[in-house]
Amino acid sequence: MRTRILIFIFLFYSLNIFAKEVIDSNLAVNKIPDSLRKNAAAVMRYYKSEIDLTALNKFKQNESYAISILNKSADELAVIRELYNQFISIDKISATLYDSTGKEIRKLKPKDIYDRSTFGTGVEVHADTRLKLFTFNHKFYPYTVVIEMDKTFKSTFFMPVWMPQLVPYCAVQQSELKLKTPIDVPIRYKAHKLPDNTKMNSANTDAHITTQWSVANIPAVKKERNGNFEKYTIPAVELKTDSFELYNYKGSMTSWKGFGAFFFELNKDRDILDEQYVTAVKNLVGAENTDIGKIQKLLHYMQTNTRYIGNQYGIAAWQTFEANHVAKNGYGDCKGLTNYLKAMLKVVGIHSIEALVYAGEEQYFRMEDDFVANSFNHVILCIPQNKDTIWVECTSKNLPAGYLGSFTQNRNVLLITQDGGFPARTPHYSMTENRINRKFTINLINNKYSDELPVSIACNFSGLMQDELNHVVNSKTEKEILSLVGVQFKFPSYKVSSFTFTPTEINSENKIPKINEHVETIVSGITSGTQKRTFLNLGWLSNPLEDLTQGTERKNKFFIDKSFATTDSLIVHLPPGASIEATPLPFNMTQSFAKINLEVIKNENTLTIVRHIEQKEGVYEAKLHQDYVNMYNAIGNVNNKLSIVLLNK
Amino acid sequence: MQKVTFLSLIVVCFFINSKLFAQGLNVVKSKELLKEALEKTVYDIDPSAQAIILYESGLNVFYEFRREFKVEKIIKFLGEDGIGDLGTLNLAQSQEENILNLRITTYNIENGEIVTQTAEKSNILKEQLDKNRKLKKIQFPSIKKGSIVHYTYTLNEPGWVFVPDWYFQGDYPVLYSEFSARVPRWIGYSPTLRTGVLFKTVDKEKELNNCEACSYHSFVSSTDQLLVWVRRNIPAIKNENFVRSIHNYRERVKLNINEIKVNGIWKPIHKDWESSMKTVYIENGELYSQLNAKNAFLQSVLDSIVKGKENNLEKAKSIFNYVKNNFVTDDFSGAKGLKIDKVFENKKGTNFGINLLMLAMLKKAGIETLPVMGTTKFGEKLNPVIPSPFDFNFLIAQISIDKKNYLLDATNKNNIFGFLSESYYNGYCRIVKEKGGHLILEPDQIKNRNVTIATLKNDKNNSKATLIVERQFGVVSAFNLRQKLDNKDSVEMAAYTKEFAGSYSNSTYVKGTFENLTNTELPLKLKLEYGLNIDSTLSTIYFDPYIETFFDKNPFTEQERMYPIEFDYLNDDTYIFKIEIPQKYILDDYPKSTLVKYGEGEDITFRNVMDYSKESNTLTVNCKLNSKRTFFKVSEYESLKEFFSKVVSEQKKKIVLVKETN
Repeated sequence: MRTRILIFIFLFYSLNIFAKEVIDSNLAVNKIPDSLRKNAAAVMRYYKSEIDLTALNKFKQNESYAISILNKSADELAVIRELYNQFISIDKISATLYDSTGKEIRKLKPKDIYDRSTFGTGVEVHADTRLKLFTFNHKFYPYTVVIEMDKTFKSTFFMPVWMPQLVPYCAVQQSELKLKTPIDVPIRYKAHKLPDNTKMNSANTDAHITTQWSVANIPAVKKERNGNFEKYTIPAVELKTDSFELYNYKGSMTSWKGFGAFFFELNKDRDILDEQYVTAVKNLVGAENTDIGKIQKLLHYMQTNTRYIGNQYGIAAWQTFEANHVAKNGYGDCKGLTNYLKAMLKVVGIHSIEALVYAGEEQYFRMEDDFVANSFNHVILCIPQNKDTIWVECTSKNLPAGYLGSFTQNRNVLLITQDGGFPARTPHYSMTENRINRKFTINLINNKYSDELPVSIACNFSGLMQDELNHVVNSKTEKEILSLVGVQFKFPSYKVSSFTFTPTEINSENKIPKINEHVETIVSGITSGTQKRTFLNLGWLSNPLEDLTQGTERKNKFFIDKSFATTDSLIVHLPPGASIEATPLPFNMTQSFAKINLEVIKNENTLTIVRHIEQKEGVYEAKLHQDYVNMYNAIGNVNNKLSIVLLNK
Repeated sequence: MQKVTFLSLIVVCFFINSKLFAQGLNVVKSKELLKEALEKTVYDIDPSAQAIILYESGLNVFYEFRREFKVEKIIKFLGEDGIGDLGTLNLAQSQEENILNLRITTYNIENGEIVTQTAEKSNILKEQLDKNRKLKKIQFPSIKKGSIVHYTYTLNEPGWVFVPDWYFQGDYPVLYSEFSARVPRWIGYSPTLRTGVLFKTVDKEKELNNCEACSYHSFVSSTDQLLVWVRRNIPAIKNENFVRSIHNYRERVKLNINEIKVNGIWKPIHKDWESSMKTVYIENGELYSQLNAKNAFLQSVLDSIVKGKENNLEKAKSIFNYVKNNFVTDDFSGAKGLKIDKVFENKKGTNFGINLLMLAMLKKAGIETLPVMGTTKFGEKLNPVIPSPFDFNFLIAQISIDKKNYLLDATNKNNIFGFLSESYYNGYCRIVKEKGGHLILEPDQIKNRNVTIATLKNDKNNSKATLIVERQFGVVSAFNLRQKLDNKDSVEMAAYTKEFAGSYSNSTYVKGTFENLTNTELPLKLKLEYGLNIDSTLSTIYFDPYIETFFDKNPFTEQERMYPIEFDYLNDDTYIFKIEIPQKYILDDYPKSTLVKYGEGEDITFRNVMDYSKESNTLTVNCKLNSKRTFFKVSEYESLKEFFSKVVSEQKKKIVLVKETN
């Protein structure tokens, strides 16, 4: 009986606990000031991060934060998606979901955390990094999640970056970062775009330095296209220590020289090939006596005999496979392939240097001169020559030696030498290199104004303007290329009769890849008739500028990432005696970022329309944004008016 | 159940035996053939293919409580994409599964000699994918253009009811694909084939040597029969525009296990749709029982929803509106998302759970209702003859009021009463009821009626004009737009409307408003206003009478077509533009009215009527595009492309205004 009563009491007590309503009125969404709701899909109510560094190979981070999700476009910010690996362990995760009034709805249960490898989530085929994933998957807005996490880091090489806003559309009520470090391990930092009201305090004791940053009331901002022209577009604080430890290797982040020395040591002597491969390399090069010739032969050999396989497993993320492994198995990651080419070049007496880089089309600003820290995700090869430097992207199967393409051009890199690291800059491709010349020939002499007209197209693509095409031409089947040719022109309707793509030869005089394209098409919908007239509609030239139209006034500067020039010539052979009522009018427009020039030349029975457009890269003031949009629209309008009107006889 | 004895031994013998007829393609069996294959760089099936599957076979063997699946594959690498896509083999296995006898060999030719490299431990990476699955990732060593890789492995799995489909066709051309199964006599089966050619049943195994698509069945022991399907020269599958789901065309064989013999008596498993549905959904499972339960927890809410509603149609509408506006779809809600009490409590559930809740409420309100289950176009179409009761990916309600049927889906707040998203119209569906029954949903049943009416009026005092464009969206267009505009705040809406308005000729956008964006009971409308400047210095104006076109470019771009053309719905588009001729100008010239027809039954028609009224000095352009069917055979492609080319061309025509001379 006594036991029964006890059970009853226990049950009652437990039920009582379950029934208890937990309300944290501070979390109620109505406590968010209206000023922070503007443009916001989420509001960080509070965020606290405490980093306690005890040694170069150990620091702990405690993060606790509450974020209110105002609509479904911000759901992702309520998801826990934490990566961990040999260097980062996640010691604790707790999360609680609250409704808009601050009433607790439910708590995370550890069994609900999905733990998986990162397979299929990126390009790395092999990585020790795993993922802990959890979401309340709540669908009723607004709601708030409160999350707390403890992590232990085993190297200061991976210092977290404090970004109070997380994303531009998240406003911040309160956010703070607290750092505690031993007095002999000072932390360096670099702040980006912190608001004026940021408070920073530092206090020293005999044993520790404590530094604290706090910000409040950061409004959300609408993300604007082409706004990425800095390392960070929203407030951020980067952290680093003067020295670090990684896999028992010690490194320094006080200078690029020291940082480079670390990588040199880590990868030292991994570029030595076994005798059988040395012999093969010598045979390959044969009697070739120029450096460029040797480089081209060995690069071609590597491109045809190896492939790229990502590897980020433990130290392999920073230390290359041995050259012998790549030679034997025919695959490697960027480090492995670069080291392999370096090893082969060494055999034939050519000195080359690995260069660390942050690759990516919009990643121009990652490595900064004044903040020495891990700013890289890729390696390329630099081959110094007497007159010039030859850069090689070793993971590409097509790019020639001496040309980098949009993935790594025009940015800072760190050369890794036995004397340490040296900053350098990759080549920049300008309007001279980046060009498209197109010629469309329409012959009306034999075809009159038939519904279907043969149109002959000859194009030359050069530099960055051929990067994408180069990849397609080199890796797709004829059928796939035909499908692409079948959609690339803006004719109303057309059939492709034939096509060829011919890359131009790369040599010491011509290092910039170019592709000649020749396409024969039968086009419908160019000619159309009213009762008295025939229209030849030529308004199908593509607009090479970007459509940066936005419905609201531009707030931030905009970035044009490359310069180029395109020339389109339309050559129309008209039947003799054709009575022309109207031809397109010449047009000119020049702005600091672009210019267009349209010329119309009448010569006997031939009418030639030449449209030349240039774009100049740069970061432009917000006030010029509307001019850019106007220019884009003007090109469209000129295009729409490209018609020849003939009177019927 | 009969015991299977000495089966493994028999299987080994059989496996060796069965390979004899395919040796010509299994090039690794002969040095000469291998050398020839290594030297070959172009294959007739696709001269520019980036890789070719020279040979692949799968052998399925049933044991009493498990299945064994032996796979063999030979790949010829010919280009960068092929190496990138097929150069790694990823094999995932669950805790109950085992991968055995994994062997991988790369063959290359160097200086005229065959060089062999077997994958070693360093080429095989292992990881724990998640709690339940392990993963082996194998990098084929030393592959380059010209290499051949041969691999084999055996997968051991528990259970035998579900045999994975065998796909003859993949992303790369296949020269030889063979699926075989050794089936004990106590298992009853029915294979279903989906192929581009007819399969011929041959009597002798050796006849498999020279046929494009053949099957062969024989008894190989007193207890077992052998089934073999062979398919040769299968091109790579390639998605095309206007194919609702490419899955429906990928060549494959499916082995359906539909009965087993227990103590001499055949027991059906999934013999036909009716018995299958009964077993899975009516007699078992929670679907039917939940509907038939009292569901008292719904009573008070139901009372308040239907209060004051006079007839069943009104009641049904308010229940539909209540569910779609108060419950959200959560595909990750697991078992809870299926239980209507939990759905009711959590206000979210799976597609099945939410519509089941609506069904329960409708039923409780006395409305005749039935669940209907099917697959959306993102899944494979259901076969009307061979049951696959676990393939459903949607459940909806069919209600009957005053002898009229309505289909309801309350899983999206943008859905309209009686209208399903076009992706649901994917053929055969099952009605869940004691007596069984089915329903066919085809895209032909949806008509998307878009109407645009534009008016250009001139200001009497100057050379300015006002252009008003009013657009009413059809059911599909409205649904898609409402989905897109969900959650947009007023600033975003204004920006979007401006973007939608685009730029037309020399016009300036003034304002734009959407009507009924959230009220799905009324049609979605958009009204746009532009100001237009007439350049009165021009003696001739070539005026574009199309503020919008049905198609800016021909939607058919493929140079050659592999698969039939499937539209998502019937088109019924109208575009009317009333153009008041600007002062001081006369209408000098305009296109003739036209009628373009497709097909003998005028399956698609495009009309463009130009009507000038002297009285009001107004030219009215009246364009209509109508379609009567959504499915077109491959052989119709060229003429369909030509039809659309004409439509595009018609809407490029201009009108000519000439300045009055006096």
